[in-house]
Amino acid sequence: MRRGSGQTSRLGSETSLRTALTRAADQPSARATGRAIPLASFGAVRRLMVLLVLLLTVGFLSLLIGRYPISPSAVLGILASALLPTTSAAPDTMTTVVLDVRIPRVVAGAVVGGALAAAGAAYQSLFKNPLASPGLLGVTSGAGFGAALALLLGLPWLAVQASAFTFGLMAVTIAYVVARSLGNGSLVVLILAGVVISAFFQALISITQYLADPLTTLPSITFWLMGGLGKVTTRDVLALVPISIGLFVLLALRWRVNVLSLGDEEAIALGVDLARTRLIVVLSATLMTAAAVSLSGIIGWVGLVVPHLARAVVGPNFPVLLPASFLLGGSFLVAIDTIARSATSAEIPLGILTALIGAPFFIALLARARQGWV
Amino acid sequence: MTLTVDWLEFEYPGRGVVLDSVSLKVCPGETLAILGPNGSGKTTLLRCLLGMNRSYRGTIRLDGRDLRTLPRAEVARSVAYVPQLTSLVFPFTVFDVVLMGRTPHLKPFGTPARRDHELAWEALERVGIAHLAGRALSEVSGGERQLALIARALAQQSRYLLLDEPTANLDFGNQVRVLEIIRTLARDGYGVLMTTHFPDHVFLACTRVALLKDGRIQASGTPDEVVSDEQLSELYAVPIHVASVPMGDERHSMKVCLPVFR
Repeated sequence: MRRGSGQTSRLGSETSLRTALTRAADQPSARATGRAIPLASFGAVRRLMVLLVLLLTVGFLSLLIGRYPISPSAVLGILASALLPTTSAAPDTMTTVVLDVRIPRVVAGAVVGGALAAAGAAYQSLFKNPLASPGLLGVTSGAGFGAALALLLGLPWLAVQASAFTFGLMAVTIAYVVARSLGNGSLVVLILAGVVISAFFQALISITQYLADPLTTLPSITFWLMGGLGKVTTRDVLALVPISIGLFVLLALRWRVNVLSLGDEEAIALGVDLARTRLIVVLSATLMTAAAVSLSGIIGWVGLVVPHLARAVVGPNFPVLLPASFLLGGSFLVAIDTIARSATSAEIPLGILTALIGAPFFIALLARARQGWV
Repeated sequence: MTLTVDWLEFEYPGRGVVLDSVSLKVCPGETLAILGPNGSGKTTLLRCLLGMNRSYRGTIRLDGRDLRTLPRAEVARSVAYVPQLTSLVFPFTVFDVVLMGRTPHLKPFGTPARRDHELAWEALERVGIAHLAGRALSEVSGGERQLALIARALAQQSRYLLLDEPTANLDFGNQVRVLEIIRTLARDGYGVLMTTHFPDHVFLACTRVALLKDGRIQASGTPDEVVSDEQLSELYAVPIHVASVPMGDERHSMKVCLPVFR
């Protein structure tokens, strides 16, 4: 870490911007208590509200855009007729497109993006590593193999999702058990175990691809691995259950996750039961990721990039970072999915677009905050 | 009301004995310094006292109760730790970090309430860095960072403070500032245990001292008794002279430790 006179200018403008925003937002409370309270709920809540409005706006815009463009007033009319006892003047096809095609897809995009980003934020705090992503312990490779295996066996779509979910959980469980039996609870051993298990399941994926019929099964495996929300239907609400459970547990543990990011020694010295807390956080994040991936296939980068973006907006304090990551991840994926389904006549696989957009975006983020990891 | 260590023995599997029959005691209101060369077992001792190394032989008693039978949060409510360095990856503010000292007082799913915020502020004001509250910890200087970590330990409201080389990596002015704060804390009733590589600091801030060599206590007692030419020369295996320097008049003098070059 460098220190010196150029400090303020070299600092990520994010940090100073955030500090300035915090100070400005806390003026009223400062006067009331006679002290400024940084990161008081005032400024944080306000910024979370802005992110919520962003998500709703992106979601609404996504309902308008597509190969069959619909005007804002028509969408509002259709939404009103669905929720309120009024009738809309919109033609039936338009109603179907909005209610049965676009809304499930927007909701799925928001939930999948939110879950991946929230899980990524939890992993980054837990592993004290800004490069951690939800796939670190092998959940995505495991899920990929689960899906590929089910597709190879010609199972129905629901079974493909269930298999992806199960194998995703299984991969992380194996990584965790291997790490526990080898190391004395060290994070490095856990990460290495995750890398190994990931590679192992990647190899298994390759085997299924090698065995798959190149005309029928192989394309469907490949498309699944590239990710997409094209197959989402209202039936997929089931995936909300594990995602909600994971999110709820992370919210309950939000302060402990903060303390974990101080490092093992300090967390123990502050009275945190390290092994148990870490296990619960890994389980919750894995549950969310496995459910998200079973809905959408493998979508990279969201879980890595969005937490950084969220940190630039609200800071590293996990109780605020978690909801911020969820809201931003949702907006990000809904926006990108809208591009994926409307930019060209054929749908672009979502995982390809998130990587194409995520990679340069991440580099830009790094360039703006070389120290401090935003 | 003491933190008592009796016949402590510890070994890392495959690395031999690190601590051997170590006995010591920290009472409220006093500062015990642990002096010892690199690898003498100072850090291992701290880790035992914090409940991180639990496979030791002997006993550690916290106000009469066996450390190993106490839940972690309860230990943390009695013993606070000030690390030498903190490995924060993300830009938490100084205030965030101090507020984390409130963790052992929170419910398992709780977050800090208004009262916790106030205590964090008081801790910051006590070490004199309240003006840095909104700055990122990674942005402030090394001395300010050390003060922030001390503030976190104060926010923890524990009776005992364990400081791991609190003056290492600090410039001379900051060393003096940190020592001054340690003196005040002991006077206010904290039981302080600090490891250090500076024998001079024992005279400046500590009421008692234990010399640790190869995992054994070589000597312990008041600084005047223990920190002598013979003891220090043996401890560090280089010739050292402890001199008395008059401070203004005859009655006030200060001891300093000087290496003797041949």
